[in-house]
This record gives sequence, C-alpha cells and structure tokens, in this order.
Amino acid sequence: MAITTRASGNGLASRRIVSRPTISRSTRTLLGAGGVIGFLILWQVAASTGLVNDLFTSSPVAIAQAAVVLIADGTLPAAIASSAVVFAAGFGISLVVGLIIGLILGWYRRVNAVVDPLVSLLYATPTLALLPLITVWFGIGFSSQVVVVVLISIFPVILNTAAGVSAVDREHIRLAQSYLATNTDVLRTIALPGAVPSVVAGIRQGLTLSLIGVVVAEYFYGNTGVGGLIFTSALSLDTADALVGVLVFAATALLLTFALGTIQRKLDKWRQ
Amino acid sequence: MATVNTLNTANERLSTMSTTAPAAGLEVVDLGKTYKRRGQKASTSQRVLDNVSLSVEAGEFVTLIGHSGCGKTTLLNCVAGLTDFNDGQIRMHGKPIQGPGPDRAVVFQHASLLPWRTIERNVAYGLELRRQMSSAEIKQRVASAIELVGLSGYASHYPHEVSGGMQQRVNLARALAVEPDLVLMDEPFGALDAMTKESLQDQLMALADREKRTTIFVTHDIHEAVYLADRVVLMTPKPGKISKQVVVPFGRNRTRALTETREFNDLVRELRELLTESEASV
Repeated sequence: MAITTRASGNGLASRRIVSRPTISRSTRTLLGAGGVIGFLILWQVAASTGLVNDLFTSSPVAIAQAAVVLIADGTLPAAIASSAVVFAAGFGISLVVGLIIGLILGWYRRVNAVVDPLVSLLYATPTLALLPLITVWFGIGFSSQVVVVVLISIFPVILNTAAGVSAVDREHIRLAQSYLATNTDVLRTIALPGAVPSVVAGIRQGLTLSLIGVVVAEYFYGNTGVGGLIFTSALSLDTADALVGVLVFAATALLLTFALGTIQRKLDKWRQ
Repeated sequence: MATVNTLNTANERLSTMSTTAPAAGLEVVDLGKTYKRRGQKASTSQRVLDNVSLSVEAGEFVTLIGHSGCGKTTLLNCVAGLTDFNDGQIRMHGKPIQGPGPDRAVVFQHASLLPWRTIERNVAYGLELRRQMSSAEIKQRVASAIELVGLSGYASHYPHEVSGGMQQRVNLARALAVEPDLVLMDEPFGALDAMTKESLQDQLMALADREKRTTIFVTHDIHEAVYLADRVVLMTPKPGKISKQVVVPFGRNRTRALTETREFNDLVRELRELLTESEASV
C-alpha cells in the first residue's frame, strides 16, 4: 500500500522511503578495521604535525617503538609475568570460591536466607573504599593485590551461580520426582546443567572485573607488573610506555572475552 | 470402514477382558482431597476430589474428561504419586501406592523436556534415574522407544530444534521407555494445533493397539476422549467427582473414518450433553 501511494505524484514521490539493508560480515569487519586504522593515522598525523603535544598524547609510531624497546630489554615480559600471577591467583580464587559459595547459596535456601544479606552488603560496598583497610590487614604486597582482585571479581560469580542453580523449573522437578529422583539427582541432572549459561555469564563478568582489579591493585600496592609500568611511566611523562601497558590490558581483555565467548557458544548450543 | 459385525465382536472381546484379573490394574477407592487455603481473615477449603472410585483393567485405555476444575488432573497426579490426598486409597496390583513408583510413568501436559539434553538423552532420563540398567541396555531401549514414536533420525537433535508435536512424542517416548504398567497422560495434545493433534492421536492409537499398555488419558476434548478410549470417565466439579462412565463400543484398531460415522458422533453428542448438564447443575 505504501508503495502504490508513492506513485501518486502528490509530492510523496520525491521522498526517500526508509531502507535499511543489512551488511555482510566481511564488509563489517573491513569497515571496522578501516575505522581503527583511520583513527591511528589521524593520531599519528596530529602528533607529527604538532597539532597535539606528543609529550602528552604520544603517537602510534612512538608507542610501537616503545613496545619494541620494552620487550627487548625484558621490562615488559617481566611486568606481564608479574601481572599474570596476580590475575591468575585472584581470578582463580574468585572462580573456585565463587562457584562453591554460589552453588551453596543457590541450592540451600536456609543458608541463602542467612548469607544473602551479608553478600549483598559486601557487594554494595565499593571495594576501592576498602583499599586502605586492606593495607592494614594484609600489608603492601602480593597478598593485598590478590585480595583486591578477589573482592572486585568474586560477586558476579557468586550471584550468577546462585541465581542459575536456584532457578529450577518446577515442571522439571515434577518430572524428576515422577522418576523417583533424589535431591542429588535433581542437583546433578537439572539444577547444574540448567545453571550453565548463567554461571558462564558470571565468570565472564568476573574475568573482566579481575583485570580491573589487577590494575587497581598494582597502582595501589607496590607499582608492580603492567599496572605499575603504566603508573610509573605516566608519572615520568613516558606516555608511550604507559600506553604500551594500557594496550596490553586491552588486548588481554579482548582475548579472554573472545575465548570465553567461544566456550559459551559451545556450552549454549542447546539454547534457541 | 469397519462393519457393525467387527465392531460388535471387538466389543465382546473388550467386555470379557474387563472382567478378568481385577488386581492386575489400578484401583482408586473413595479418594478424597481437600485443598486448604489460608486466607487473611479465614481459611477456605475446597473439596477437589470427593469419593472418587475408579478401576482400570490391565490393557485398558481410559480417558478422563470434564471441565476445568473438575479434578481430573488432580486425580491423575494422585495416581502418579505426585500429589497427596486426604481420604481413600489408590492401589496398583492390589498394593496401596506411596508416592511415585516405577510401575507408573507420566506424559506431562507441557513436554517438560530438559533443553540441554538431546532427544535421545531426554528419552533416557527416566531409565538413568532408575539405575537398573547398563548404559548399553539403556541405549538399546531408548532407540526402540524413539523408533516407536517415529522419531528415528532425530535422536541427536535438541528439543528446541524440533516441532511441538515432536516434543510431545519425545515426552511419550520417555514414559514408554521405562515400560510402565500404567501410562498417565495429562492433556498431552492440548496445546497443539488441530492437524498435529489429529496425527498424534492416530499415532497414539496405533501405539496403544500394538503395545496394549494400560493408559489413563486426561483431556477436555470430547472428540479426542471418545476416539481414543475404551472407556470415557466423566468428572464434574465442586466437589470433583466421577459422574458417569461410558464404555466406548467401537473396539480397537480404529481409524479416522470412525469419527465420520453416526454412532461416533451420537456418542460425542451424548457426552457433550452430559457435560453441559453437569455444568448447569453446579
């Protein structure tokens, strides 16, 4: 109907009717790459022509050169290794402890009733507000760094796991009952497999937050690792070095999210 | 078209069958159930089942029919052992039931499939929980149950990948796989479109004729109730009770053609009138 009225020549004919064609995947990728490259070129030109002060902004070429130097003299590999240990320890604890606590909270209603307010209170507390106290409790060093990472990243794991485990379909419970299932059967065959998407979503959030935790922990406790590299470089106006560190974090976040996304798709293939 | 003669002989066979071995089937005796609801001011109670007695012989296909709220699903759930009751007794093979048992399997109203399990593993679910068979035996039993409902070739699909009608066939296959003495079906075709429904009724009928498995089938579709059943049990609400039982005189091995006959439609009309009357009298 809309198409026929267009031909009626009452001024509507000149109108451009909305059309939103979809674009192909490869075109999208190409355009995306173009955007990034275009930005880098603009940045480089602006820095080279003195349009911006490269003391503050650095430039893509300067960052690449800095990266080569930092890798060659072993500074960057050592920093990455140090950060990786903090990340692995913090995220590892969040994962294991978070899954266990989440499972218990999701499955045992009474425990949930007791613990849930505490968890919510802790979750609501800005972790950064605790930093000075963590210093008092754990000193300045590795253990404080790990504590910060755990405190920042554990809650999404706990809460998503608990939500996933407790959200059991009543019809599925009846089904299980009709075949004489025990409590453990219901946990094993219904609650746990049903919780997988929610758990993975929690782990994904925990992962991203763990990286943030590492940066914060390294700024605050001892300036170690990649976070420390960024902090000290920036203080001495080595913006190129600092930005190399930022890139390392960005790349890591992208890589981990991508890897987990792949795992998630595999585990989720039963969902429509 | 079946001739009147074959119908009659089939009916005789049915009537002789129903007089043998009373202990082989299900007996519901004076069943009563009251729902108590605690209101803000006063507690209200509702008698959902009152004095319900019903016996189902081995191999018999019984449909339970009635308006919503008449207690037909509650009765089915009591027999399944999924709902408790206040008075009376339910006996299988002469023994009172206490909760769900391996002698009964439920075909649920909504397919209730586990979405993360393939069709094959959904069918295996009941057998797995019973822990009585090796996985090789389960595999074999599952394969034949899947074949029985005509889903060979879909074994490794996930539930969301198949149609609603197919999901209900998986639901049925899961119940049949445990080889229960009594199959309890709770309006399994209620949510399907008319064409899928008819096709599933025909398949169920063929299956029932071949397997001779004792079945109680709850529905609110009179047509369906008559087409499938050896006996139609009418229930009326407030309080939920059995108001009438009608033996369907058409024998087994029915086809769609039966539904076009006058006898069939007369019986449907008669039952509809009974239901309307009961509704009016409440």
